[in-house]
Amino acid sequence: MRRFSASFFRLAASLVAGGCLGLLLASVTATNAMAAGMPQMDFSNSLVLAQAPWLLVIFFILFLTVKGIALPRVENVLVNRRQRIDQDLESARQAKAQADKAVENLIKSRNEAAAEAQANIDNIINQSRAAANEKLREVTARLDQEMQQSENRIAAARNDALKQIDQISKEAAQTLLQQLLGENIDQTILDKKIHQVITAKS
Amino acid sequence: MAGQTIDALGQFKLHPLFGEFGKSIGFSQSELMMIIATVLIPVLVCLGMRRKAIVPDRFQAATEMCYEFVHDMSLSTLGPAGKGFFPFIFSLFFFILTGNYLGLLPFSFAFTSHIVVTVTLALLVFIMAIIVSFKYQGLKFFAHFMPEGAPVAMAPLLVPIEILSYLSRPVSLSIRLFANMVAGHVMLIMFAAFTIMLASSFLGVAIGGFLGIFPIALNIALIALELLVGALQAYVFAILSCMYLREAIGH
Repeated sequence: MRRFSASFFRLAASLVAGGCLGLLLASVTATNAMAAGMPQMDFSNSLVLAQAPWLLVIFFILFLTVKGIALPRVENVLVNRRQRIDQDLESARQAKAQADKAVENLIKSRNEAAAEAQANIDNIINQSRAAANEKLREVTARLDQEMQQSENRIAAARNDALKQIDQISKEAAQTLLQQLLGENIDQTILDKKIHQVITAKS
Repeated sequence: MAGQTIDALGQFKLHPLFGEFGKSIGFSQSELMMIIATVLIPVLVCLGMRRKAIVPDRFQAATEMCYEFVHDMSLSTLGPAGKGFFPFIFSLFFFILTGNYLGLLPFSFAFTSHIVVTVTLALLVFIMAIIVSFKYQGLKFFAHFMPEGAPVAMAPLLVPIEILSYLSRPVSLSIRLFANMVAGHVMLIMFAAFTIMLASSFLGVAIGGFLGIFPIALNIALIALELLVGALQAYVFAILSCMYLREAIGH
């Protein structure tokens, strides 16, 4: 690469040097180069001034052709393209709006479905909770009732037992006294004493 | 041309075409080139747009680019009113551009290297600007010759200067284009003549002919420069016309 650039510079330098030499020699050999009057200013030549009216006519024709034929073609194509692009953009925008709407609907219906499902779940939970409570209450009531009945029965049995204690203790006391003393005790005294003990104890 | 003198200006001499008839109607190679340009511009545009494609090919894209270049130029300088002047600016720009480029072809002729042509075009723009001024601004047109905000006492000095500068517009506009084209073509023929002179000089064909390569190489670079100058001068002419018209509209 460096070698190439070096040789390139050498070539360029020799070209420039040669060019300068050539130009120098050329100007030496052309010492008598002369400038005649400018043909553009030679108004004796009728062709020079004749350019002006010709130019006006030709330029006017060019202007009419350009304005009437050439430019409308370009403009039509550009306008068509712009309209096409605008249409495409518009339809893309509409499609996007539709898609957005669809997504929105989807989200909305999903949320609705979720809410409905949640409501159903809550409902079922509430119902089952209520049913459970009902059942619990029923069971509790029955248990209470049974307990009440049992307590009543126990109380009755106790009372019965307490009633019979009197008799049993009289018989036991009479039997004991008879065994110990070997004689019969008066029933009324015994009753009275036992009754005193029981009332004192209870 | 060959030999010891360089006839650098002979290339600008006008010759009548079509013999006596052409001479009587003043038809020279200059008018022929104008007609070729006038035919070439619409034909190229129509050829470029013949497919009318939504997605353009290269030729159509180039044509549209030319259209939009001049369109943007006239609309950006002239505003919304530029739409009305756009065909004129388009014709002007491409007429000068085609004239400049046609002149670069061998055996052809650059009509923009004639002061009569450039003056006519500049006067066309100048007179058009004056008419547009009167149409858009009426007598307020004359207010342009007194710069806004300048003290009234300065008016005797300022107004003549402003009038002079206004009147010098078509002069500068025409001479700029004319001088550029003349200079370019004179340089081209000078360097071309150097080659012939070197070959026919005392150095002999062997050495002089070899040295003659260098002016040709320079001429190739000059052709590139002339392509640039041709486009630039057409652009300058068109954009200055736009600016004069903008002032005429009264922005």
